[in-house]
Amino acid sequence: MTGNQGGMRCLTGGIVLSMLPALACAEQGASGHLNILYWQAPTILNPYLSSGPKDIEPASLVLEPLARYDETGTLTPWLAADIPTLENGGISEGLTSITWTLRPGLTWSDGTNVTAQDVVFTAKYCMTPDGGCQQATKFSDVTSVEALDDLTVRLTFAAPKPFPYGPLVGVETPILQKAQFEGCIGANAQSCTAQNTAPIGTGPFRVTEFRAGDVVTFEANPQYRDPDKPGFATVTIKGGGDAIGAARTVLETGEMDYAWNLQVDPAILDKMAAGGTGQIIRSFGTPVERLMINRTDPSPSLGDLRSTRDGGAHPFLTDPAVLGALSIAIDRSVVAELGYGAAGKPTCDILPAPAIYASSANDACLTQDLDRARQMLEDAGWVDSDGDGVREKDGGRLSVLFQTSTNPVRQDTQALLKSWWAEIGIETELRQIDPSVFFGGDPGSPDTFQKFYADIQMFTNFFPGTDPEAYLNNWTCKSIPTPANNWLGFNIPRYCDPEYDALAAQLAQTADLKDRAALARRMNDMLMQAGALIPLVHRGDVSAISNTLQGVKMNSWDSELWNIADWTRADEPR
Amino acid sequence: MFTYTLRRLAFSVPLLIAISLVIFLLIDLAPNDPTANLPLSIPPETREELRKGLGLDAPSHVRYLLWCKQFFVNEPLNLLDWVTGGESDRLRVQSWSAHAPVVDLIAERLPQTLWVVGLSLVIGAVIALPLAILSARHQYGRIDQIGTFITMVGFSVPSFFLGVLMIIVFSVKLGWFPSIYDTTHRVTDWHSLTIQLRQMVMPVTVLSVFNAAQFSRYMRASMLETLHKDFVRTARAKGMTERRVLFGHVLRHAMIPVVTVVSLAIPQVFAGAIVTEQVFRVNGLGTLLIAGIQSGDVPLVQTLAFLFAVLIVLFNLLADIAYGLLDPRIRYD
Repeated sequence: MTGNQGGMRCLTGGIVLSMLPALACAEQGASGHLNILYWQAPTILNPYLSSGPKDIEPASLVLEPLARYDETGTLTPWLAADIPTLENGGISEGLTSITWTLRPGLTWSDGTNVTAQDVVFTAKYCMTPDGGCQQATKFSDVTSVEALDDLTVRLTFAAPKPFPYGPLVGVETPILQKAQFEGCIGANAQSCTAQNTAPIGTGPFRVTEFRAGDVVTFEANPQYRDPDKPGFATVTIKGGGDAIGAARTVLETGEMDYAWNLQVDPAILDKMAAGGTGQIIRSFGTPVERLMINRTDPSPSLGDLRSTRDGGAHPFLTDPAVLGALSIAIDRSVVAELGYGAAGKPTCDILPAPAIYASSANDACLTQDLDRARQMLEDAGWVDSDGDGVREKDGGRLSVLFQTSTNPVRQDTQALLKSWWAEIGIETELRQIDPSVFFGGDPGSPDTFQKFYADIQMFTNFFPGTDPEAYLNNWTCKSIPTPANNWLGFNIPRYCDPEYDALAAQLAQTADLKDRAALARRMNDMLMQAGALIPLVHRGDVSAISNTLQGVKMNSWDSELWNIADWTRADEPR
Repeated sequence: MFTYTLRRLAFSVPLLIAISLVIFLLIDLAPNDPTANLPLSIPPETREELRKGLGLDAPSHVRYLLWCKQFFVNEPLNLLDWVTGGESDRLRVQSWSAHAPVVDLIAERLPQTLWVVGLSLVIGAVIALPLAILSARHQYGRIDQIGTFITMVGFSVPSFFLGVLMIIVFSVKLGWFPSIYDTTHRVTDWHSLTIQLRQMVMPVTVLSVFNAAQFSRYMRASMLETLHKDFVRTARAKGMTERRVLFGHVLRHAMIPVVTVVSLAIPQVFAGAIVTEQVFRVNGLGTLLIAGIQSGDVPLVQTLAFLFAVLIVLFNLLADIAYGLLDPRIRYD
């Protein structure tokens, strides 16, 4: 009987608000319990102290930002009433400040009101030195954050900021409650265990139990702004095991409703999906598996000048013919299919998404052409004069050292590339380095990706959110890792072109989205045509959901659990 | 015996301090970076700040002494305060990845590890004892042949294979047991106890098979050796019943080497079962250690490794004392 009444109310609601999907308007908690598996278990629920998706996504059930990205990458107001723009006056004329207005009537899960003071406090929390805030770069240009009234906050930037939606937007920088975190500022942040593991939030759920690295349980937040949501009364986010086991619990045993980050052999995954209890969902964000070409000379004889611009250019990896041949000899669709299955798309761009930024100028490399690669080398004077299968020119041999992190997919890719390059007369020596060393950034280790004591290396990088400005700035001259800056910086290929730097400076002054997109595409094309980077695969995110779960909208631009308030249990499996 | 125990205990102190230093140096000298697992979008300057925040800019000896102070002084004092109900705000050993006190993390993980790994040790011993006695009594008989086959399988099949095989058979195909261990489950009545038992069946079985195999092989070998001793022949010649000979004379003598094996297996209970815990998501101490190693969480790994060292030293001592009780010929004083 009660179920019937719920259905009636739902129907009326559906007519009034016909924009909403009909099933999203059941009673709060009507769908019961939800089981989610994050096989890398969450260890903390404060995104300011941990930037790993394993921690920030479970935290997004509780903590919410002013605005976030929906599944198409569109900025959507969340705790804010609307998105500030130049047109509505939310962004100042000089692009140096942004004014956010909170939705009226918001409450924390403990029943107190959300005010502009909480927003100001959150910014202060991250900007206080010694707090170990991992999102500090989002606030790096912010000079002041002030509450204009109870619901309005103004952020002022040190320089014109054409894309001011960094701080307090997206899954990484949600709003914290001032009352709860007041004592956790600066060096105290690390020891506030109770606050960091059970933050008070505005989201659809609140934490009931937290066991670091094992399990988090949530219950519906009775103060949630939409009284009919969330659909589930309780949620468990369990951790542990590996990705294959996680896929099995959704696709084969049906114990779990949602399993996150299933980067497993696509053949195994497809076989499991035939199990019948769930299905695989995918979405594409910005991660690209790419080759980085060392444009400087890595030879050990140079000593301290190894892999620096002072040590001179690479003997042959700045020759456009060699770089072009290396790229066109690769069959990207085979690399994508073998390593990533449906979660990988061959790409020739370092900036393949969001769609407005995607260039189509480089698509020629999508088709493998070994003959043309050979011809390019031949024309440039690289010939195999001594018959050992490796081309030479002026005493230099086309022999490269190709390194990457230890990872089965990467080792398969290495082997594939080596065999193709052998066919066009380029010799490849493979090397694999433990990920914690390779990505570790220890200035004392010779094996880090920044030092790049090799000719070619491969890994994936991406940018959070949808704005590529910071990402494209990675390839300006000043971002080159050198001994002088302690090998910090992300310009791994040591690419340096004043024209590119000029475009980067122009991007920093351009506010209009279309102009920004045009600039970003040009910068992408410059990098691709210089051959500083050879993109291979546009990688997608893979998760699995139970057949009985509905309302899930897989999102690569924000938390995968961003719309969990709308999730419900279907009566009939879909 | 008492002075011997005291002497051994006193000797353990410098030994453990030396062990703690070795553990610290091993972890410290290994190429390891707690910020390595952060997304690449976190810029190097922020990483540098984070490392500083964790105290990594201090020299090695300062960090070692700080850990010693936190572990040997602050933690026991905090425990004392907690027992007496007082408030304490001394700096505790903090995990870098969870930003929580390491001791609290261990306390959270201990119950499931003790349940699963501890129970598997007991079950393993309960299976091993009769199997080994029967096998030794009828060497090369049918029971011995079957027992040898089973224990060899138990020894040689790795737990990551057996565990996954059991999941596929019993969770996926038959749907009898859950493949995920729910650590938040609380036993309050008969029904919840059966749920607890059901979720323990598979991990405990996998671990018991190995333990039973290990114990029964040692036990069998030791029994066989003893059965051919002169005093056994004497006992038989005196006309004792076979039961008396086996349980009164052979078993007690044969237990001596087995005590070493078992007592050194007990500290391993606390180390958890890294692979099996991972397969069934028991998330006990084994997975805690592995996660700590993977994320470069030095205080966590240091504290866990040191606690294992303490347990091993302690149980070695207990084994030596048990020798003295079992074997009248051994006198320490």
